[in-house]
Amino acid sequence: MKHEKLTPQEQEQLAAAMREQGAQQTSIEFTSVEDMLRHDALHTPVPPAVAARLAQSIGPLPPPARSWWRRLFGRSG
Amino acid sequence: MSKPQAELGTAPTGTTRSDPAPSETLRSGLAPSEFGEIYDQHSKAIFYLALRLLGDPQKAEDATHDVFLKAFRKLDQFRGEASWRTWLYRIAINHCRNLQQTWNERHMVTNADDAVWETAAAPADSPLRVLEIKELGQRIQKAMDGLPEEYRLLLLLVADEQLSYDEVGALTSQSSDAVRGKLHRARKAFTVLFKKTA
Repeated sequence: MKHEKLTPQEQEQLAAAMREQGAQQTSIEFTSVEDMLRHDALHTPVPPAVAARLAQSIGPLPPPARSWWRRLFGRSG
Repeated sequence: MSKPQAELGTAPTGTTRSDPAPSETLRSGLAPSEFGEIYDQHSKAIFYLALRLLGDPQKAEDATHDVFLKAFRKLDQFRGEASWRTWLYRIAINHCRNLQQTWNERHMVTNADDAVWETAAAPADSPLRVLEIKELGQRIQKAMDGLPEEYRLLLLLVADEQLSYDEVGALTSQSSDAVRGKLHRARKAFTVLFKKTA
């Protein structure tokens, strides 16, 4: 099957259609503010540096103590 | 030299596992690996709250570190009456408020501006259309920056599906009915401000 070359006008129409399709793919509609915030939160990663810094900060500290209320009431552990 | 990240957390990011039962984990003290699990489950929520309250990624990063360090140091004060998420949120909210007061660099809109939003055209429940999803974070931050702190906090907490209205009320020192009442105004204010960012 022979492929005919697109005219400049057809090329422009095709490009415009692709641009429009691209815009549609990146657009989104949220039904509520909370939906939008949940979407944003889901796509907002915690920087990995936080975990590394925290591990460094916690490392020298003694293990967490038992709760005072557990000691007071003499619960096991 | 910092420890590898794997030493802090054990669960993969985005895990859907439920909280370890606080009373069980504290009964024999909390091992670092268990604290790592708590970090894995809740750091995303705490970082996001700090980011949108403070409006600065570096400050949010520092705040998230400080919140979890405070939590680790205060573990003996945790009685298990609230969920880990609620307890961590409380620390984070207090921490961010202290930072905001110290820095004194943000222009806070007062509640007197409620009248402006009440008369604005955008209804609170109108859909929010975003054409460029990559700009969503910036637009949300701009809108958040224009809100009173109370509204910002309410919207961020209510958006967390792990929290009930009662828990949001407890975190913001008001009844769940008051939360519901203010939420409508907060949504409307946000919607008006968000549409201005387009």
